[in-house]
Amino acid sequence: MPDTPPLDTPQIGPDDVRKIAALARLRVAEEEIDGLVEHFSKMMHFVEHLADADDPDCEPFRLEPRTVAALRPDTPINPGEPGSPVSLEAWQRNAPATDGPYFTVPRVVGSEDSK
Amino acid sequence: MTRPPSERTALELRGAILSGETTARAACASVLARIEAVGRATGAVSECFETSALAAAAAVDARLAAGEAPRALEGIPFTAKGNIATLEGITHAGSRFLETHRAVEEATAVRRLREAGAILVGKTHCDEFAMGSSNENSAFGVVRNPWQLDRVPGGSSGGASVLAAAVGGSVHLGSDTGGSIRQPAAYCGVTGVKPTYGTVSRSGLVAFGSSLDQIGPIARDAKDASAFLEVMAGPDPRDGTTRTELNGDFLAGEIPRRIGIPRDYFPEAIEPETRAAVEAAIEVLRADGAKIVELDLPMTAHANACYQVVSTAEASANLSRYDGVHIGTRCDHPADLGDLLARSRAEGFGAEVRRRILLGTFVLSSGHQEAFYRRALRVRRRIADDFSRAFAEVDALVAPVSPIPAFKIGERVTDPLALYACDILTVGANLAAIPAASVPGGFTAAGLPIGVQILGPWGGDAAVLALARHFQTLTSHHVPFAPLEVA
Repeated sequence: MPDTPPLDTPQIGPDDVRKIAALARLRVAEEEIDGLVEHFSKMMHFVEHLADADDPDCEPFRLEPRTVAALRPDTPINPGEPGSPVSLEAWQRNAPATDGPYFTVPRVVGSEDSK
Repeated sequence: MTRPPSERTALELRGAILSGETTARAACASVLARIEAVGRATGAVSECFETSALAAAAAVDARLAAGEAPRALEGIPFTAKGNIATLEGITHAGSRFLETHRAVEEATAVRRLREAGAILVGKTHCDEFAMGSSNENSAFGVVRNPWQLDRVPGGSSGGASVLAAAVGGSVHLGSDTGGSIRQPAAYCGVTGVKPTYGTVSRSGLVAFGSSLDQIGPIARDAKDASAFLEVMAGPDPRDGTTRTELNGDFLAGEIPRRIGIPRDYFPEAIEPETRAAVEAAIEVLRADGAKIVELDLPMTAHANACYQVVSTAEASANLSRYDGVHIGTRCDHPADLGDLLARSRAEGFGAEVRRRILLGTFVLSSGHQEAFYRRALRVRRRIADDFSRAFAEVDALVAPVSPIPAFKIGERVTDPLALYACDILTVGANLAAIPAASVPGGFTAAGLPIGVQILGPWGGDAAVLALARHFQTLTSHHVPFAPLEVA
């Protein structure tokens, strides 16, 4: 028998890949689409057997209560100590474009997109 | 010194510095020279910090000369994987997107090591954003296995494992999301430890899968790894998921005597020499008096699929911060904000990272989240329950790390699924949040290292380390250095 995915395995087509890429804010070139459709199909096949292992009554895995997100003591941290606020200048040094205290992007207000 | 610093273990080097046999500065210069040479031959090293390292080493000598009490890691050189934030150099995580990224803060693990006297000497190459099992997915080129240069070192902590194999007198930090410390440690014949989730702070680690990621040491032997983990471990106000209490003594824990052998970790497809080496390791422990118990981890077959869903979902969320606005490189002439984001990200990320972001976005998207992500979380629970049942019977598990030894560069690049298959025996520990180590278990007839995996119960890091150290008193597989002739 050929490998036929069970009914609940989605068939991924070119338009699905384009939609996912838009959601992921990731430009995908047209020439990449076929390869990604094939990759997605293989991955769907790879993960579909999770359905065989699923127990709907099973609680989803959580790191708690074994690892509880801890609150730190509410005490001030002085400049220069570990955990002290990092300067704006330091944050901005990895930004591709800045203007004074701002991170800059192409014009949004007044652009075609904003109309 | 009878043996040069780069042919000792890290703790032996510390002893030589404290006894006055050598100085920290001379030792550091010697180890750095070897690291640079091995880096040139294998591509393992992204940067060395000679000036700051030698200054730190001179400061160690001055402290000792002034009669100050020696610290736990006094004078030991170490490197950080490229995805671990350091104040020196570039934290690019193997990505073109971050090729000029200078971390604004240092990782807690790195800071603690410095405070204990260790000296940061450089950074190592890795798969982009730690996504890969071969160190072929880096924007900065492949890393080569020092035992056979036409083979991969494993990944994603490939550079760190190469240095541990070819350079003594130092320890190398890696990170492990699905096996990225243990698998390259196995392929390079060194000792690597992935702690229980929450043992080492993730503050300063470039996030991949936040519920899976852990920083850990890759070292010449389990004693060196234990010493480094002891210093790095512990609660950190900067990572709310760090464990508030660590169980046991990382340096002198009780040696596990009831050893479980999970049958499901010995699939038929396992390479025969790997199987034989792990079985030989089990016989060593049996002959030493350990009680050996075969048991089942029936969900093992589903671990890789579960991992693919959970890790890509978390990666797609974590990597959304790389936008070409606040961080990263920007595409030329963006038409508008949407174009800037989509094109900067497409140009900055490599093919494997883009594939994983897309898959992660899909499994979290409306209409598919229940069938994939939520389902994977339920299966993850069952995988963790498997381990809990096993550890009710035994103190530790012994198994292979990878079904195969190091493969040839290029052999699996065209088939991502063939590469993912290498992770089948390592992802379980990350999904269950439990500690696991890879220790050298011998060599194939062709001279490739084989790793033996030791897994412990949640919070059982001390037991895993104790068994790893004990195994290395019974065997000498960890002793040889990679026979790398370098100029």
